[in-house]
Amino acid sequence: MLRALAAAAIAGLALPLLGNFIVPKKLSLLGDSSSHFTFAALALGALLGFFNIILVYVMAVLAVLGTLKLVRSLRIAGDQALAVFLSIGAVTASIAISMGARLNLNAILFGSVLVVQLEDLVAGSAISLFTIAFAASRFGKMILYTVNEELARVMGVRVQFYEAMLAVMAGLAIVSGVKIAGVLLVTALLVLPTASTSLLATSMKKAILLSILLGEAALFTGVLSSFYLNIAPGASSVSILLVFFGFSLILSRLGLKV
Amino acid sequence: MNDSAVEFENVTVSYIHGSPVLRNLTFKIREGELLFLIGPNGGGKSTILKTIVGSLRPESGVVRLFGTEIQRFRRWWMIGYLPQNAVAYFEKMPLNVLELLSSAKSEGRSMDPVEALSLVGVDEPKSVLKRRVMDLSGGTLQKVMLALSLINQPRLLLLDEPTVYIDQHGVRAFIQLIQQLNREWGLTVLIATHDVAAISIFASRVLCVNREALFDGNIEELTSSEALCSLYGFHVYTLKHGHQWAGK
Repeated sequence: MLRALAAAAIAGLALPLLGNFIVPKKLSLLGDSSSHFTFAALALGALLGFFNIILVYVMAVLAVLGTLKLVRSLRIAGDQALAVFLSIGAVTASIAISMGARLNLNAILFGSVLVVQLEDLVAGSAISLFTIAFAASRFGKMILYTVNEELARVMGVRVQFYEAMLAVMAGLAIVSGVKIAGVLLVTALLVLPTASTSLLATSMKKAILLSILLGEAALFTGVLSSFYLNIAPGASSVSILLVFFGFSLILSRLGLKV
Repeated sequence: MNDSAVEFENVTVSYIHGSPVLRNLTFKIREGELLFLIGPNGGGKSTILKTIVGSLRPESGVVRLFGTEIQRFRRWWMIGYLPQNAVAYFEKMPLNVLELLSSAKSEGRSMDPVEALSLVGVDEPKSVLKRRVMDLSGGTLQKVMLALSLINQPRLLLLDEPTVYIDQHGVRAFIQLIQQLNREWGLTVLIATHDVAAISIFASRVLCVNREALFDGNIEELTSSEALCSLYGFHVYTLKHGHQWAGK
């Protein structure tokens, strides 16, 4: 239980934070395409009888990096690039399962409080701390990279470097999030907090802090309630985020700004 | 001090391989010059700008910025860029003006954001700093983007269709500001536009591009030829009329 709460605390930090930079780039479903790649990695591991967590992390990062590169270099629209990776991941997983890979599908798709190991917490903490440190120290350049890559380049931002860093941070954070929320819902942890706060916040900094707060609150409450209500932690956390989103919509209609 | 700010030597650029938008283009922009880059849509104005800022790599030929080949150019603070359609950039971001202007900090060269906004003629800069970029009107956003392009006190300013969101009255003030910066800072300025009014009133040197066709000269030469004008998508009458009316 404690491990699950710790995992929740970690996921509720890195994912909402990164969402603030990913959603404006019209890559809201990045969590989905990357998590489906993670699914494929897990399925292949199960099929081949060879499981290596490093491989899972690498696949997730490659999915994000591949998407960003498709969008930038081949000028494919964000949503199309996401669909490509999502499909590759899902197809691979499906074929692996029909070939006999044995997986706890429920836990993978919807998350589970039981699967969190100590090494997941260590990795997750390291990823979150790194993400915060990076975003804080390079805030200006992250902003420019997010606003527009061409403009960022002229203003001296090394676009390829930031692309790679975003891929690494997002990919790793998504794998951490998949444990708790599952393949199908991890994208909600990335998107919903920032969707709520960007309606109300009058600055990026406020939006980021608020989205982390929302993410933490939702995940904590979600994991606790999933334990007592016996539903998947992904479902309970995301339900709370959806309620928050609803409130944000109403408050923004009333003209409230933070 | 008439070194070149931008040099294109036999530059060919394509978006799709085998289908060049610019072919064997050669021209030089000297430091301190103010010139207009004009031509029809699809003729290559934006392509030239994107090549100068490094977004597009030429298939062949050499591009130099301040004497350095563009692949080796690192002093990006020297270039200020005002893109077209900046409105679309900020749609989903609750970014405020202060955060945007502060993001450009470059090695202690940056102006204070309030100073930058005052420079471009923004009223009440302190209150504008707190506003979200996505909530700004077209004209104010354009000024903010101009402030962003000038904040590191660059040596070359590139403007892509800068007058689209500005009314007629504002266009004159805008171009006069650019001319003032050109005089006071020795700022090299390249304005890509098809705003005929602006061109006819303010242009002396024009660079007209239509794919491989390039006219590099002064506006009087351009308006003296109907054929030349129509190659670049203009009616002589409008250009000449405006130019004469401005007392040139």
